[in-house]
Amino acid sequence: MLTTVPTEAFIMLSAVLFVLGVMGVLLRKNAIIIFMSVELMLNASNLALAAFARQWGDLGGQVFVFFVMTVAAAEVAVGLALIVAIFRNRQSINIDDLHQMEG
Amino acid sequence: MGFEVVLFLALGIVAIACAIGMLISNNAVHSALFLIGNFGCVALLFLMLDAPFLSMVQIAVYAGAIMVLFLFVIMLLGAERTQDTTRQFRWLTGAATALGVSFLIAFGAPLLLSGLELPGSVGVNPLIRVVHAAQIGTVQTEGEGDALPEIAQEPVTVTIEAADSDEALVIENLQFSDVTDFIEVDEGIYSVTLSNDAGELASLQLTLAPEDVISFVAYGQADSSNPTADIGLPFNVLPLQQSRAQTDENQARVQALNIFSEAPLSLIEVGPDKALNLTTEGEVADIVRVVELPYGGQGESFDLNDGAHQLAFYPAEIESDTEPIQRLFEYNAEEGVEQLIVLVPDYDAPIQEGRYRTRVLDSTQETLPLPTREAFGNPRDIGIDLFTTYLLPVNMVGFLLLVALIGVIMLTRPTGLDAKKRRATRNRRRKVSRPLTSVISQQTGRDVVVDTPRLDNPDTTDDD
Repeated sequence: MLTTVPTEAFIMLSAVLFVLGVMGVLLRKNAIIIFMSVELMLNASNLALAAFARQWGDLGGQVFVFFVMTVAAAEVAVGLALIVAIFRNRQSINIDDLHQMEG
Repeated sequence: MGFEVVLFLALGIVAIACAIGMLISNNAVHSALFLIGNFGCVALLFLMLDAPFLSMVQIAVYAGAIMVLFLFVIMLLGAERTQDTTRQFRWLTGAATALGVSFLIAFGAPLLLSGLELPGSVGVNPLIRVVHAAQIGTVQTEGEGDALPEIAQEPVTVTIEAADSDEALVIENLQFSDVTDFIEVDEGIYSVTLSNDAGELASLQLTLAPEDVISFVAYGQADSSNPTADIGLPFNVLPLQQSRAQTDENQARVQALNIFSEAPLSLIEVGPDKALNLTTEGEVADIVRVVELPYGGQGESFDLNDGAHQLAFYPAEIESDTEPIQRLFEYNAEEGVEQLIVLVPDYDAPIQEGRYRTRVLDSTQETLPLPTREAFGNPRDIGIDLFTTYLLPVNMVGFLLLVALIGVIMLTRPTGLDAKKRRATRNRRRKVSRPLTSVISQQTGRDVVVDTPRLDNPDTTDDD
């Protein structure tokens, strides 16, 4: 059954979620929260992809969402491993502490 | 507002609220839980977007595996409390908000003002058909008074031509009361021309959108030798829009059309066990439904339960003793069927006092719901797509996962030297570089070697 919700509405919601993710990356100082914001952005883009897939009646969009999810899973694993490694060295995951590492 | 719109708004608001909650929460665990809520909402939105497989993967992989990993790391590191150190960059908050808002405006303004030029759903072409209910031919008896002229019926030719194509669809020898089958055409601008041997009788231009179902109904009376002359009922072609909506269970749809009298008529459904006369012993009959039918205009279509009904065409202004123009006793409605009822004048009927010379043309067809796309977004089709069209990306992603796995193992391996080297260096003296010793060594030209107390060496305390 076709939904009566226009594709534009889904794209707009996806844009709002994406912007919230961007603001999380810019504003928060906790590396884990920044990571979660990146996940939020990926998820918002997935929503837009799925909306376009429905609009065009093309499965390609959904297959792409699947790939994004897979890559996101790999990225989270590596990213969290990085955070654990950094925490072991610096006893902190605040990125303001981390950038003093230089020099 | 439809149910789906309400559902979308509710899910959208909860998703945005969860995202904001994640953004401003001071506790990392709360942030993670808010994000799970957001992912759940997006999973439901995926369901609305015909993507059930993605919805399930979203819940299992994102809300399940990834968020558990997040929570695990947060609790492992004991990093629940996150104090923000934005005080050095207070301007950043405003700047980031301005950036986000400007992005939303730049992105959303064109979308909201003009809308995306998106194509319609693919694969649903408009359907058209022609209903010949006009009386075209040689006038035999001029109409006098209220009577209509009698006309010897002649067949007509209908030409349906797309504006951007040379090929035309020609339906020849269409007789009065003929109804053609539905013809699937591409969307676009079409002109429909009615003609006979003498030339063009009427024409109509129309834009067909996807999913349209249109019956071109020729109605009225025309003298074939002089089609513009007004001889009785006005002659024209009506593009009758029909609904694609599926009728409910045990329902049938009726679309009625009045091309009998220029005065508007009403189609009245009276309840069962009631006489079709509007008054029975001074009491008004149980009227279930009244549909206004202007001449040559599209009346409202309606759904009724299947089974027998009593329908009647009445003049629009009814008084208690008004006789119906045409009765449809025991009108039988079948489930899932759409019926077009056209009331036309009939000249074969004998002239009788107090009787209208009418006839009902009807054409029945199954309702034309939108074709459902069963094979959209289900796991089987995505799987077929993945392993045929997208086989190379699948392999690449698999390789990427392998690399990520190795990377994670490398990253989380015990820091510094491996165990063997560490054992070898355990008892060795260390060269210490402290400001004082470096000054001494600079001045003396010799390295200063200091014994490091064992307790200060964190690497050696946890071994053995």
